[in-house]
Amino acid sequence: MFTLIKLELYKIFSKPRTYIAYGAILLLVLAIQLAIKIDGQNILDFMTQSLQDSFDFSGNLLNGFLIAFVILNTLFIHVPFLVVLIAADSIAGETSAGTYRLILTRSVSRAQLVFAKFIANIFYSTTLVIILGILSLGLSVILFGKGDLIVIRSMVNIFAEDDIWWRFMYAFAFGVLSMAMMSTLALFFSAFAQNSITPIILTMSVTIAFTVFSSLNFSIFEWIRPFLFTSYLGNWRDFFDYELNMDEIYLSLFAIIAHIVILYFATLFYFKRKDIVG
Amino acid sequence: MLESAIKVNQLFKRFGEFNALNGLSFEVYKGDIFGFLGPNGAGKSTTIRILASLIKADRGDVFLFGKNLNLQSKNIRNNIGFLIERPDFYNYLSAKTNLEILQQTGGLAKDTRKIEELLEWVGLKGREKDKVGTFSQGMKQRLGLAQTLLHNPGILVLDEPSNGLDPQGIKDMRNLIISLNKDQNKTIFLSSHLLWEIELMANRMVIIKDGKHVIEGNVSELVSTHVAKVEIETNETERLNLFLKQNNISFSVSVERPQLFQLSYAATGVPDLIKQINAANISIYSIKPLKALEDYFLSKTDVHVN
Repeated sequence: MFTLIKLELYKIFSKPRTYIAYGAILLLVLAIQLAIKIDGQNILDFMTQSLQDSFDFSGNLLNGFLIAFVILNTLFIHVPFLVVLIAADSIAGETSAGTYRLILTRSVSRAQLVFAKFIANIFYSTTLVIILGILSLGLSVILFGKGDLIVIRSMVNIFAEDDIWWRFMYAFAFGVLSMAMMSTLALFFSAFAQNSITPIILTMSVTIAFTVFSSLNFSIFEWIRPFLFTSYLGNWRDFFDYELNMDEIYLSLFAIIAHIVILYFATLFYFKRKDIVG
Repeated sequence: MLESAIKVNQLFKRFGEFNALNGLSFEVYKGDIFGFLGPNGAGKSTTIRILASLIKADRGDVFLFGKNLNLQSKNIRNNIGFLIERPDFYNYLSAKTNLEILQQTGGLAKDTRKIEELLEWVGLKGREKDKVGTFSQGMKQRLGLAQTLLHNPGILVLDEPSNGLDPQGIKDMRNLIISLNKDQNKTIFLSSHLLWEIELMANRMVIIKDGKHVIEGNVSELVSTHVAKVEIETNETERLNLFLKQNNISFSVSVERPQLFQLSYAATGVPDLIKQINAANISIYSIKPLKALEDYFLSKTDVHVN
């Protein structure tokens, strides 16, 4: 099985398109960091305008932690789409290329192949989150230094420097799980498609539609919201509450893992029975 | 006692409203070069895909060396190599890397020496590091043949192996296949629309139509019982003309080359015919059967083929 996973990773990292996502993240993070370097103080003043009557701000507020938080807020919405580019190609790409006529006639079961692709895709999405973490947190801390982190959610939370790292680590770990879920969703659609474009479009369409349903506060969508994965993808922010709402966090984790498990087995169920006719 | 290599028993497969296979049965013996013939839509590709476990039959059984494919699909595939239609490789990878991936996907350890030997055998030495995307169709076909041998299987299923090849490529492929059968004792299951190719290579064959078995047997025996076209070349055209009329044998003469006589004659009777012509002292430059298998195929399937 390890060999199969290694081979799937080899296939992924042999394609130039794989590196587009890394390049995109690098460019976007650098662009945001540059913009904050130039205009960051004004933005911070604007953000804290309403608080300045009550609080006296001092020290390096425009620090690496704040910038990392801003970057994550911006990019965690878009990273799923970069993950989908590769995962959607995983099964469908081989269907359209016709390589299953060679691969599936070897002594390998379809279940083994799907599992290898599943793990390889998760590995890829994890590397994206790690790169995002290194660039957004590591590089920002190097460039902008450390300091307290101000997070404005339902409350204004001010975290001391030594209370921040672990929150980011958990947020990134949550991000890894979220991206694994997106990757599995794309893999699921990929099993049904004859080419890579269809699962990319389907995954994106479903994500956009569910995001809209999750964020609109209409009572008609109220009942469906707990069942939509998009209701949980952004819950990495929960780790930036002053007191963690563990029930909320466990629910998010459960929902995301349940989606991964269900989508994986649905993919497996379908692919094992699929006629390779192309 | 002949040992069964492939036994197909009452296979049924339906795609929507279309019955691709309607109880197809046939048997291939160890050591055969077995021709698998049928007109377009007869069910050849469906049968091969079932053998390759790419699709599942609705009903029926396939036995490979006595083992049921439905029950032991993964293990059985260790002993069978497939070249199905045009082989599609990872175009962005080299020939060698493609073979390494296929070798290891099949559960074998990476064996660079074996891969180099195979690439040399199919005439791709020197191109092993080139991306497959740069290969001609003929090179891909040869690489396709190489990949069937990575795990040294006992049976090779070759579906249109001469697809897209030029005449020299077809000849090279034919020689490779014959060598696999004669020198390496591989059982070859060969599907091709080039009937003369089957006639040249296969010892046994089955013809299928509408997903059903039409006839199965020894190629030379089946063809020899059939009334074949024979072409006779002579410079004594008037004497041969008279001889054929006297013996009530219908014939036609080429307008462009009147020394060529074509006649329909039972293949088994051709030796006697030659004796009679010789006895009549008519000089003959050549006598040869024309498209015996093609005629036979057409008579059995009642369709036109190229």
